[in-house]
This record gives sequence, structure tokens and C-alpha cells, in this order.
Amino acid sequence: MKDINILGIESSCDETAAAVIRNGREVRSNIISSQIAIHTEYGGVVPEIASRKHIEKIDDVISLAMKEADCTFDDIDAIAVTYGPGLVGALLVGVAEAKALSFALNKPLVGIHHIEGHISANYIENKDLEPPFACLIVSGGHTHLVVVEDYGKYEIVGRSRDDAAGEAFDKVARAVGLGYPGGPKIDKAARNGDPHAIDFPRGTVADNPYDFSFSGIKSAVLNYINKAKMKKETINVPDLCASFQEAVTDSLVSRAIGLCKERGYKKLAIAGGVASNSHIRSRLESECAENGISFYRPSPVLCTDNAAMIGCAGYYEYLNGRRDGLDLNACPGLKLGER
Amino acid sequence: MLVLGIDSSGHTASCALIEDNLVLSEYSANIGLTHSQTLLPMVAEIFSRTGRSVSDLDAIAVSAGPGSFTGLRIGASTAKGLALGYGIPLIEVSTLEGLAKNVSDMGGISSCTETSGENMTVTAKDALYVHPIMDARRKQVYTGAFLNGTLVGEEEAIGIDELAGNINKTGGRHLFLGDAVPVYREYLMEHLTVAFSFASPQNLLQRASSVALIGMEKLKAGETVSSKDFRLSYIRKPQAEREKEASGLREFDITHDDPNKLKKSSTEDVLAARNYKIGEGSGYEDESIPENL
Repeated sequence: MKDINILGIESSCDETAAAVIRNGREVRSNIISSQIAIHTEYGGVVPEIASRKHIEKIDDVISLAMKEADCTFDDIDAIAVTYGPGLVGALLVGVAEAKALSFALNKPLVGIHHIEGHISANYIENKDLEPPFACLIVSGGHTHLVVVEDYGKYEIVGRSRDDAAGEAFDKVARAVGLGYPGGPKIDKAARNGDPHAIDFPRGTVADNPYDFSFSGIKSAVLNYINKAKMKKETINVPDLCASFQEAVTDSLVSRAIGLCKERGYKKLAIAGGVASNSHIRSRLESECAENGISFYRPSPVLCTDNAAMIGCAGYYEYLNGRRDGLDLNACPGLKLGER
Repeated sequence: MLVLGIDSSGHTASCALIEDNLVLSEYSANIGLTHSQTLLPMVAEIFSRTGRSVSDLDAIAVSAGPGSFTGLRIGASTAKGLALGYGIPLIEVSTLEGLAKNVSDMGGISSCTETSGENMTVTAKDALYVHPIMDARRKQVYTGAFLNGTLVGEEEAIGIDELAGNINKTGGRHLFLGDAVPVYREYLMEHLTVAFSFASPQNLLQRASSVALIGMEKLKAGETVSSKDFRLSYIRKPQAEREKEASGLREFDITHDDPNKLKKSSTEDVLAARNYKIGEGSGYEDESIPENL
């Protein structure tokens, strides 16, 4: 059978990325230009700066993806690009570039949902993983619990009603002076802390047991810090980070494991930037083992925003027959499963 | 030689294909849709109608700013995507120079419409200054003065009051065009004491044929860039950067002490694209994120 090569392009937030994927799961190249050093100076991603850097770097990134994959555009069967959700100005750079490239080279164009990409990152290192399976998606912008029914077919079982888990990490990290990005910094600080030192609430949502709420946890942490400041007490940052992380992890793990048990899924995957958190990974790993569930998680380098996952998702959408036109637009608020 | 021109710096999306000095085809749309939806379909239409293909192009000329930040980037990324597959060079064309080109043959005052003002004692030797003015919000316009198609002074974002004051001191004749004309027409009519006029609607806004014609001249002069080296000139910095410079350090950690240094010299290093290999031997199987991600 002839190989199918997909060029994936991703620019939804602050990484400009391109990758070449062979037959869906083989990463021939995975190029990333990360802007994190620049946005760290601002304490978070500045959309206009992100867009300006994307347009500067995107050709470099795509060219390097082709070079490292040792292929030419003739070898490419389709171009897959993230068209939402994300920062609109950032998305537009990748979308316009991918569309123009697709037109100039006369290659099919496949628009990809960013979260579908994150989910698909699991296929890359787990060649045996096939739908159906349950997947927990945790990132700076999203917290979703979904059932992957088939390639490109999702049932959203639960989602955050307020902040995404990653947002809570960023806000707490900022409040205790750890800076941006919050996820890795809290993860590191928490390693020396006691997860049961402070009892923060586990957010629940009344009408859907699988929905998440993180604003309550976040507020409780901020209140705790303010009270300590007023009483002029010093805060034990490792304990606070570990306790906060424990509360968030409890929320995530209980729902993900609960869904697998209730519906009888024997496979659970995680995805998204926060999925590289070491505590969340180890808790899920042990609870999956206890319950006879196979646990899948991408390497941290594939949890971060990248184009390999877009190329992988693009491969399956390409096989499904999805094709987008030259009028494909960026959709900053795109919902998973929507077209 | 075949040059494609692209301009999506304002409300109008426009593309044109020119062969030497002949405008083969030009499409413009100002219909309230995003450039993302209109621009590339129009480019495709031009190629299909003219029977040419992207690989026939000698260069792509693009409005490189100033203008709507997002609009400029849609034009630039479209051009880059078209160019990348065939290694076609790009040409950076100032949006303001492109606008001035719309009226490059209007040397005589007779061809200007809606002449206003009382001191209309114009003689042939009076210079005609062309002022493209683009709405930059906050009572400012992006502008530059052009004399016989050549920029006099600098392109800048300037208050409309300051611009009017400067023009009154200059004397001569003045022609205004650009999307700020409808916004400041009344103001200019009230405050200018020199001879002036406004371009009529067909010449008022950005046109890709003007951009392409300038591109053709630059192509002949060898002033092209690779799609990697193409840069936009926004004139204005991002708001967050201006605020940061104005207010100094904020409460969060500042890891680089000199933003200018970061911007000018080490941006390339900071943003350097790297291949993050996956699989055995990649070095990332351990449970940590590579340091610069």
C-alpha cells in the first residue's frame, strides 16, 4: 500500500509548529518554534505578539518540517491545519498559510479541531490504541471528559463550567509568585509539599456528575493566601501547591475513572498541556491499574501544542473523506465535534 | 514577467495579476466578509480566469503595512503559502505607497475632484503632495507624504490635528485618499488653509494592481525577499508592549532584563524552530517537558 504523508500545521496559541506524519502514526518530523520566553515576560500569552511571531516563523517551521522529514511537497498527500479553537489572530496565520499552500500545490486541505489533535497525540506512541476509549483532556483552555467513539467521532460527557484546569494552575502560580506558565512550576513546587496539608474544596456540579468546576478551588486558594497575608503568616508554598494540585487531581481522576467504570471502558487516555503534570499522570496510572483499565498518555513533548498531533488527526479525517475549501475560516470558539 | 499583487490591509480584499505593465485581472471585494473567506478564493479565480498557475509567477507583491494587523497577516500568510511551494520571491510594498500609486498620474489639479478651500490660486509649478491616510483609531492616521510617487519624510502614525497643522505649513497642493478620508473629511475641510482635494471612490481605497505595479518595479530593481525573510511593518507596537514599556516592570517575574535586546538580536534564537523527535532514542521518553517548551 502506498504511504500517506500528511503535513500538519498548528498556530492556535503561542507555538508555531509543523510536522510530517506518515500513515497516521509515524512522526517523520515535529518542528516547534515556541514563544514561551517572550510571553513569560508578560505573565501570559499576549495575542498580538503571538500572531506577529507566527507570521515571522511559519515558513521557517514548515520548511524545516519538510527538510527533517526528508521529503518534498510532491510526497505530501494532504495538508492538515488547526482552525479552532484558539486565538483568532494566531489561528488565521496557520489557516491562511495552509490554504494558500494547498491551493498552490493542489493538495487536499483538512481543517482540524485543536482538541481532536490533542486526543490524537495518544495514537502516535500507542500503535495499538483504537477507539472506542475514554479521554480526559486538560489544558490551559479546555477541560473535557469525552468518549472517543470512532476516529473523528466524539461524545462530550463532561466539561468545565467555569475555568479550565490549566487556567486555575496559572492563576494560583501567579498568586504565590511562581510566575508563568503555572502548570510546570506548581508541579515542581508540589514535589516537596504535603498534598493533605490544606483541605481545599473539590468542585462539584449539581446536574452533571461529569462536569468540572475549578473556580471554587481557585477562589479557596486565593482566599487562603489573602487571609495568611492579613494575619502576616508565611505561606508554605510547596504545601499549598501540593494541596491545590491534589484537589484538582481528585476532581479529574474521580470523574475519569467513574466514567470508565460506569460505561465499562477498559481504556483511558489523557491529553492536553496539563496532561504532562506528573501528579495527575501518576494518580491516573495507579487508579487505572487498580480498576483494570489500560492507561494511555502521550510523552510530555506531545502534550504540549505541536503539529504532529494535528497531522495524526488529519490523517484519520483525510481517510474519513473530510475536505475543506479555500474559504475555510479560523473559528476561535469551535466546539469539539462541530463542523 | 508575471507578478501577483495582494492587499488585505484594510476593509477591501484585493488581488491582481499583472504581466509586465498590463493588468491582466484584478479582483476587489469590500463586502463585510473576512479576508480569510474572500482573499484566497479570489486569487484562485484570477488564476483560473487567466489560465496561469502559481508556478508561473516571478514574484508576489504584498502590502506590508501599515494597516489592520490581522488583515496584513492574512495577506502575508496567503502570499507566503503561495510562494513557499515553488520558492517564489516576495516583495514588500508599503501600503501607503500602494495607495499613492492609485493616483500617480494625477499631477494636474483639474483631475482632482471636490476641490475646496478659498485660496485656490494654483499654478502649474505648485507641487502636488499625495497623502494616503488610513484610520489608525485614537484620532490618529497612518500616513506619509508622497511627491511624484516618492515618500517625503517618514511613514508614521500621527494625530489628524498635527497632520493638518504640518500640511498648512507646507503650502502647495494636497490630495488625500485612504479609508480615513470619510472619517476626517469634515475635519480637514474645516482646518486646512492650503489647496486640497480628495480622491474619488474608485481610487480611494487599497488596490492590488497598484501594489503589483510597484512590485514589478521592485522586481526589476532586484528588491525581493524570500518568503522566510518577508516582514510586515506595523508602525505601531502591540498594546501590551507599549504598556509594558510605559509602566516598567510589573509584579510578575521578568526573565529577560532587556526587552529591546530580546527583540532586536536574540529573538531569532529564542524562537528558533527545532525538531522534537518522537520515539526511541528521542531523549524525551522521560516524564519531562523539553526545557524551552
